[in-house]
Amino acid sequence: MDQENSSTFTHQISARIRLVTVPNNDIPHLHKLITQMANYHNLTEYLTVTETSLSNTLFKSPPFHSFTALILEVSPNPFPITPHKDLSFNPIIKNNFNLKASMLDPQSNTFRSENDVYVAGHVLVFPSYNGFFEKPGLNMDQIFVRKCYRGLGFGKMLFSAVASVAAKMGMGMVDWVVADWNGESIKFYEKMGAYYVSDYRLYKLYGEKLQQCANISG
Amino acid sequence: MAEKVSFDTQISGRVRIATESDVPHLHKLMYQMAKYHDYTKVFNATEASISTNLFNSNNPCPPFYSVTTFILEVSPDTFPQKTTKNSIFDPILKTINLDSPILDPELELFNTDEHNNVFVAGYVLFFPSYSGYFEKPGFFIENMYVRECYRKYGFGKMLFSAVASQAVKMGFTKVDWLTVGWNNNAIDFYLGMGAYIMGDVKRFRLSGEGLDAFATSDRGC
Repeated sequence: MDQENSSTFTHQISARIRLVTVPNNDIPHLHKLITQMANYHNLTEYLTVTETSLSNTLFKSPPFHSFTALILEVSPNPFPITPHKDLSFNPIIKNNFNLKASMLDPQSNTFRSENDVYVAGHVLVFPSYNGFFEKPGLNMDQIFVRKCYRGLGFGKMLFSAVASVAAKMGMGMVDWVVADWNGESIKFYEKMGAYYVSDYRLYKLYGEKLQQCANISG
Repeated sequence: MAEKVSFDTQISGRVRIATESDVPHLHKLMYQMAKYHDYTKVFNATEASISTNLFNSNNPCPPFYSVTTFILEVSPDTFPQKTTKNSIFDPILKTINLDSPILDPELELFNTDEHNNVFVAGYVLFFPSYSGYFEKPGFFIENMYVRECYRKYGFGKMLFSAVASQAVKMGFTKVDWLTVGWNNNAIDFYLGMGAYIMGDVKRFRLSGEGLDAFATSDRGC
């Protein structure tokens, strides 16, 4: 274990969820989190995302009108609650949460955001719309908390952040997919009040087959 | 005039980008599609909601970077081959010869203009989908529908390949969508188009009361 790269939280931990913004070191951290999530799903060989592609797709439109990322940060110290100019998303802060036992972040240096602030998770969303329904929705593409920070309610905090944005923006639903084998996540989502949309299969067209289909159209 | 129109020996199809004037027809098509899926009880779209969601003048996104709809029109006459300068999408045209006549029982309802022989026959609604894993976005097809009397003539393929070709043109790497398990016609169609079934994922949704519960939730729970 790399002692220099790690940090220990002894009694308390504070958390903050905020929008990923430019310019700072959010993008490299987000890329690392995405890579960890790909590992979790055994999808590393399919990764084509780069820091550049993230920068290119994340900041084209106002928050929640296109691809949007929220980042979860933790710290042994409380986060300042400062009024924010950009009211499209006020940071969600939960300070001084008591820990039952001390915990170790073995990669804290890799994920250091500011002095005592470490990036711990993320969520990626984009808007959706089904013509059957009066209100549009949000599609949650990814939600992830780094392993050492699980079991502390941060997943619930990230999920609630997305759900409350959707509810407050007058959206009708939040949709996402979860792997069949991911029993833990499925249980979590059901606890959050979500339901399985049964009998639907996800289809995909890509690569050569996409090209062939495109050529029909001319 | 519409009663005198018939598709005897040929039918022409045109896929073009929808405009706000298409909303009443879109609303009818969406309702028909909901009926096909036995969803009329949950269908609550109105012409106003469709206008707002599809044709919001305050939309900050460039063309195709938010929800887009293509309309399928048919006519016994050939569509003029004109391209307008700076159009964001050049219509796709096709004419096919018929072995037997087509009867459209709703011809008048879907006539775009009483002075022409053009009738709305279907639509496809799609939006960019983003994946944190991939470099480029894709398109997610949320709705695709061809009215019953116009099926099996290749119009579904025309609509679907219009989205696929727009994806390729923009450097997008995939098109995804959902299909219900019992819809064998659709499944055969999609497999014929070269689609893959992503069998090992479950779709989850938070809506209704479950979603409302978060509207006044204590931030950070």
